[in-house]
Amino acid sequence: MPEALYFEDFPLGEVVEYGGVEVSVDEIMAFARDFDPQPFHTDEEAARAATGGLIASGWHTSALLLRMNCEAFLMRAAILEEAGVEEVRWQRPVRPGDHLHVRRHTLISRPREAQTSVGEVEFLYEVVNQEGVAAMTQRSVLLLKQRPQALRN
Amino acid sequence: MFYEDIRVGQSAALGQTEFSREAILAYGKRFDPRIVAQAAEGHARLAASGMHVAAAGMRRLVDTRSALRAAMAERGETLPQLGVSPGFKDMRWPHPVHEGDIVSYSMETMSKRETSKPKWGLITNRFRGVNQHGREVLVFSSAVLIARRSEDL
Repeated sequence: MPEALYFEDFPLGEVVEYGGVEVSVDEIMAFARDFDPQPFHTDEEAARAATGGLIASGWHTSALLLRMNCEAFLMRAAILEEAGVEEVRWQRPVRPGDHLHVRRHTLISRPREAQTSVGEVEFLYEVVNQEGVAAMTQRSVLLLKQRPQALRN
Repeated sequence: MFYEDIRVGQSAALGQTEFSREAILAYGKRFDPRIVAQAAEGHARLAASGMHVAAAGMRRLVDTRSALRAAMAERGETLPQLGVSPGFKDMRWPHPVHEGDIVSYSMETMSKRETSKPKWGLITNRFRGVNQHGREVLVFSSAVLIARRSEDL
């Protein structure tokens, strides 16, 4: 088992980059058929007129962010609660062949005053494409365990 | 529906989704490896990824809207061009969704305003998902661009 990640592992102001995924036509259409069957996600012909070509559902981009977050740190993080998602902006279309990765900023990192073993972290995630442009941003809050005394040095 | 037809305070039922073990696991395999880990640990009832619960709600919205558009087309009415969504805010999952749960989705229009583009208006909606026991499992606010009736109609 890889080592668990605690509140202290997400310092204020930290910026880290991780992940890497190529978005294919097949995946865009398969996701859209399941969750968002609108023509600009499922039909290349119709998408040409509406959005200048096929674009991924925003919910698909959000799901890809989730997977990259899980692989990078969520699986190992000592999460007490996922408070929710404060805000998502789908700023630029994601198109077939785009390469996406994540740039994560720690906006807030503060211990819970009432509970000494708990800390709150707010992240801003940017889903960045191959041109270095953020296709999507997400702000969300996690409640994490603080590192147990026995593991501090 | 065109921008002009939408009233603030209007609410609409969007239908139901049953979350099978297969569907929860399929989403997990694609986007949320924590679900796969739950299954590997032998959890009797898997809990769905929060983003899966939201994406399934999008599917209900698209299907509801498609049915409305089909009815309009049947009556020979002009169909509004579909707009994309710039994102959402304040997503919460007050209770988990487990396999076998049935979630009923609904949407209420909170505000509407014209945009700098004469063709589009911006609508904000409050989405809710409620399980078969009446417990809220999903809530968020989303914005969407809705076509305005053109002057020449």
